[in-house]
Amino acid sequence: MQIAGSIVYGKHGSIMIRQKMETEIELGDLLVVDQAGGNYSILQVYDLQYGSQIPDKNLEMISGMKLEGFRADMDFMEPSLRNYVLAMVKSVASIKVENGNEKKVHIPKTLPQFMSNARLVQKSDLDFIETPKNPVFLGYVRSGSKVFDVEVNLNGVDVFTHHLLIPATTGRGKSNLIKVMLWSIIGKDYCGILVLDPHDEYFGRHSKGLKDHSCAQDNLVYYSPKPVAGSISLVFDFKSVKPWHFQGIVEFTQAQHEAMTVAYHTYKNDWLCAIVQGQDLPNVDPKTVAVLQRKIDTVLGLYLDDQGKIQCRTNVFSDTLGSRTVKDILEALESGKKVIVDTSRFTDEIELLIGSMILHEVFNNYKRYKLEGTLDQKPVISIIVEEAPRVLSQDVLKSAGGNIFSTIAREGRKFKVGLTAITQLTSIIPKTVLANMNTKIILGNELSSERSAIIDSASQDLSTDDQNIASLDKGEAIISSNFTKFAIPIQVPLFEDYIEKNATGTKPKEQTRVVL
Amino acid sequence: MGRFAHFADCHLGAWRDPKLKELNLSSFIKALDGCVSEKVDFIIISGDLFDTTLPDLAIVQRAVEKIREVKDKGIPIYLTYGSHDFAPNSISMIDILNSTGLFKKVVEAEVTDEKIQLRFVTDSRTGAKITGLSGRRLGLEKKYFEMLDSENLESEAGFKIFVFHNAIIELRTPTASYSEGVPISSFPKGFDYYAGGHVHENLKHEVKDYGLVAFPGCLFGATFTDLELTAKGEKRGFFVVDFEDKIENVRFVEVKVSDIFFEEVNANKKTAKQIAETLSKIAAEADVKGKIALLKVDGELLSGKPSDINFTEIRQTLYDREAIVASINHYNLSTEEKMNPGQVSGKSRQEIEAKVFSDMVNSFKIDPTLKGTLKAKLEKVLTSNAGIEFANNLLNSLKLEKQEGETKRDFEERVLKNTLHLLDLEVKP
Amino acid sequence: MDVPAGQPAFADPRYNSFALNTDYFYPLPKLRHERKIAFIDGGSAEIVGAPNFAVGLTRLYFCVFKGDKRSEAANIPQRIDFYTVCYAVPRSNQIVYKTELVPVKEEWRKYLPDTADLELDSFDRTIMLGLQRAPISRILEVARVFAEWRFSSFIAQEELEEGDVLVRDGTLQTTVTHEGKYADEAYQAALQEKVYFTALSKTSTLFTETGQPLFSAIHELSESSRMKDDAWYYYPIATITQPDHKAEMLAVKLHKQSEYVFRFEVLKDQVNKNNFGEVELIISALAENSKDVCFPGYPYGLIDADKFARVSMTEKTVNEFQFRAAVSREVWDKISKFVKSSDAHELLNRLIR
Repeated sequence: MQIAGSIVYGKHGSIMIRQKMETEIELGDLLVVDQAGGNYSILQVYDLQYGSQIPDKNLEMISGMKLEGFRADMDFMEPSLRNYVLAMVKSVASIKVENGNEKKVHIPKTLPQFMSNARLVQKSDLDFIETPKNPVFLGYVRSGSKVFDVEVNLNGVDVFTHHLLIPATTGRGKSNLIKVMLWSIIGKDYCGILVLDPHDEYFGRHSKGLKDHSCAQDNLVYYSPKPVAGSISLVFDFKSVKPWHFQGIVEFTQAQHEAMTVAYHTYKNDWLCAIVQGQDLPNVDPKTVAVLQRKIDTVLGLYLDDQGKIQCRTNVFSDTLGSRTVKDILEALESGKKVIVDTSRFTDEIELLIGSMILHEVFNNYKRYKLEGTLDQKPVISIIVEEAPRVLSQDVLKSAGGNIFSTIAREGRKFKVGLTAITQLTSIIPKTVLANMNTKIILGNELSSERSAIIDSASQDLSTDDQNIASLDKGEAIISSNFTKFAIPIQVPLFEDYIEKNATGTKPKEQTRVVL
Repeated sequence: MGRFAHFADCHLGAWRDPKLKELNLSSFIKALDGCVSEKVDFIIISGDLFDTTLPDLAIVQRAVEKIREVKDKGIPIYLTYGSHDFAPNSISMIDILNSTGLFKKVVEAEVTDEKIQLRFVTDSRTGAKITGLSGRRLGLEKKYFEMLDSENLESEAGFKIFVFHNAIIELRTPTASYSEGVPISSFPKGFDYYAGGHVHENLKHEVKDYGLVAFPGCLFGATFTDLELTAKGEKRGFFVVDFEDKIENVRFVEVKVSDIFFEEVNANKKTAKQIAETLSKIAAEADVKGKIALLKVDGELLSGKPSDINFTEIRQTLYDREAIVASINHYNLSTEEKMNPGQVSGKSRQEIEAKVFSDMVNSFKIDPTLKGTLKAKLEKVLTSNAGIEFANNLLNSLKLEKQEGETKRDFEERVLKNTLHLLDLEVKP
Repeated sequence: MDVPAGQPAFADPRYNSFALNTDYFYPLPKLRHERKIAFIDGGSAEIVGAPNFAVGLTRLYFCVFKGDKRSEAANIPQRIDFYTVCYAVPRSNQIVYKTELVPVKEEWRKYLPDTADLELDSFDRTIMLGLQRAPISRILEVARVFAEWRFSSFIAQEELEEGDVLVRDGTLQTTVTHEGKYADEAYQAALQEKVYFTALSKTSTLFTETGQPLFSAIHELSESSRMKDDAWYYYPIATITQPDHKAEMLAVKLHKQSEYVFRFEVLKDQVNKNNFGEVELIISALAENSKDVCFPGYPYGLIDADKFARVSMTEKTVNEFQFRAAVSREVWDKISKFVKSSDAHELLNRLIR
């Protein structure tokens, strides 16, 4: 067992450990202080500083003299004894052996013994981490930059029901994390996941992706406006669109809202066609209708052609196709399938409108199931939405009064409908929304204002982890969740490596017996 | 200029009730007569000509006679197999008839390196090129679509027809009862006409990058759900398509063999007694003479059980009023009072069967002491979708009726042989 | 002002000085040394003091180096602490200071001096300050010095081998009554083990006859010698026949870039004037330990010994409070009167701050 250092002073939440010579303690390292009876404490390094028995001014002088070539043949006697590294650590978990040999995790309430040795964590120290029921895989335990072959799985029902936030700046591995997570749950029917995929990166159109999972055939559904063979065209019947789907997604004036309401009351499911076709709307100013038509053309791409037929520039809306799309997606989600919707060819507004259409139905259904008492038999449903501030930011919620995404963020938990929000800007999401997101998988973030926002809303006290978060490399993350006893540092494996390691998940090559 | 007729889902041999069975056959005969009077160059039947793999031979005989008549008039019939009239593990009646040359199965293919290379069948009179895929139960044809070598098909010149027997996901209507289907992206692009079957509703759509996709619906129907749809206004018949280099015109020709009386009663918050009275009143007052009389009652009774309602008596009333067939659908009638454990509800017999099979297969566990090839074989056949298909096939196999002139021993042997064939086993001599 | 240095000036006629001469500078051999060097130092702090009693905490510490590498002490504790309790008693119209020694661990008692040797008259000239009665706190210092000598004996016997060196901070001169006994004990032990007994002093109050500090003068002289850019030793300075000072005295500059020249003494009986080679090797070994960039030219072992021998202010305060807590209220009330008689100055200091 490698001793990393010794506790020299400090207080709870800020313990100083002097690093042993020839050891290198890293930011984020997990250290173990053994106690009697097989118990031990796990400490985490959150900062590193130099320590010296020599006063700073003397060090500066000596350094200057060496730089300028004076006293070139001299050096420090016992340099490692007099100059050393101090690691600032905090106690994150107290592991106690109970009931014979069962390890239980407790929140630490005492200080480890003064001057006790701290060693680097080993795999056997982490065997208290169990795989829960309904697991969703997030990564492997990481200590500094060292990765252990210890899987970190959380209970997917809890995580998805209580919402998940993934804050990270570009290039930190968000997409990879989502792919790994989804791969681990494709075959599991305790959750239905809807993925709005604005970069078409999850299915695996041109490379390895979720389509390569052995359960993909039965459990993965892919909708795209340019489908690959075997995947479903993303197209919605006009009748699927309702006026309330636009709330908080597309901004309409009061007059336009009223016109839409009148159209819906008059023409029911054909309200959208009625507006585009210029059918009569009682007591609505024709100018409003004209503006509304233009807006619908701009946002949805719907217009009348020369033959008086409604066309759609984006081909995502149709009068003949897609009348069951929302229902099919709903059925898929309620059967615990994973549905990817390729929105890479659409504007933000269309992407979010599609999400809104589906989510409204999901939410209504699940509210009904709760009333009927059958909600327990249903899988939890989560929607993965990128650039979450588009629907969750302070500005959006204030101006539009909310949307289905924010409703789900606030109330979805009661009905087993959750949000998985990915964002670069946590600071502009209201604290009330953040407080409801009970699991955060924190990836690297260089912006200190963002780190503060993340730290402020975390489930554990991460007030000392600013440096830790700033130094997270690609694929490194910290899980802060109501469902973990402490904030767990993880390494998310590269998707391609992960699927190779979990080869049983990959589609086996089978000879198909063809009988025509 | 060429002309063809397109219909599907005849389901000949369906129906226990002999009158309905006869009406079904009548619709087929009427459709063929219609094709002749329309002077079509050929006929396309997109699957489910028969309702089972081994239908009632009397029905088969009369159907064959009519087909022969049409063929002798120089009108070829091109078809694909459907999800009902064909089973991959045994010989079906349709296989036998196909081998006689009575009609032409257009599914001809080579399978190389997991790719299905379909060949075209060319109609000699019009030059139309026809190909397609047969249907399978539970949407198992989806896999074949994924294996299709589309490039080969798309590059073929000429007027092309693709015949198939499955729902297209993007084209299903909100009321469609099919949750399975194949996405349009699985189809080869650029055919002039996509002749669909399996969907018992009349649909026609021009799909971008593809062509005209048409489902004629069923001619008569194979279930009471079909008859209910007909009663609600769904037209039954076939398409007549005029074409040259491309489609010039498409018409729907209706085929009607009987009027249908249909009434639906919602039992929610009503007692069994109230429902019984309502149904009796309807039966007593309805104009059902010479019609198919359908009553449907669904919902949740406030009190009493479905068995408290004398459906037999109500049905008799309808017969007394000269309905040619009377049926009361109460599959989806339940009670707020506790149901018997193990009771399953559904909108139709097929739905209930599907639910039961699904539950049984999902909870089925192979004896862990079994090993080797036997275990592998059982795992392949008895689990997941394959298991459900097997259960369906087995049920159909066991529904076989003893033929006239067939001894009891021969009948038992036939049933046993069919069953073992499903399991890929043989009787030891 | 350029004043010639002249000769070292000693008031005591038992010191025969040699005129300062550039020929007396010698280089140090540059060799890799395998001999061990033990460095010893002591520190003390008064915990409670009054004119008629004093309680102090004394600490002795030694470290062992081989060149620049620290060596573990194998047989005796590297650090020992003990309390010194002195109190004034009247005897034959005199005030005598008596002492009790309380080691922190009883097994350390053997390293401590005999308390009988610490019974000193308050007017003992060797402990007086000028013409005044010696303050009782002086006994704390005396106890420390005696303990250092005794501890040195054990170091030489238990930790060092033939050819090794023991260095104490200061000189080999004894000044206090009974101190000679302990010095002789230490010398005997060293001679028996053939361990070189030496001392290095940071400071010196010796002068030249022209009033210059002796070692500064030697340093200055080195600038005009052939040794000016090197490490060196300077010998001889004086012949010493004083019985309380059994040493050969040298001046040493232990690193070429050092700004300091120190007084270095070796036990007289261990110096062979005809072959000074061993002394050179000792000094060379010491020089090898004097390369720390923080204080080049001063042995790192003595820096270490000084650091670990100190009794910090915090310890002093903690001990003070522990003492107050340990004695009964009644006893404290009695002694506090005595304490107050001498701590008014401290109180004034606190008020001014």
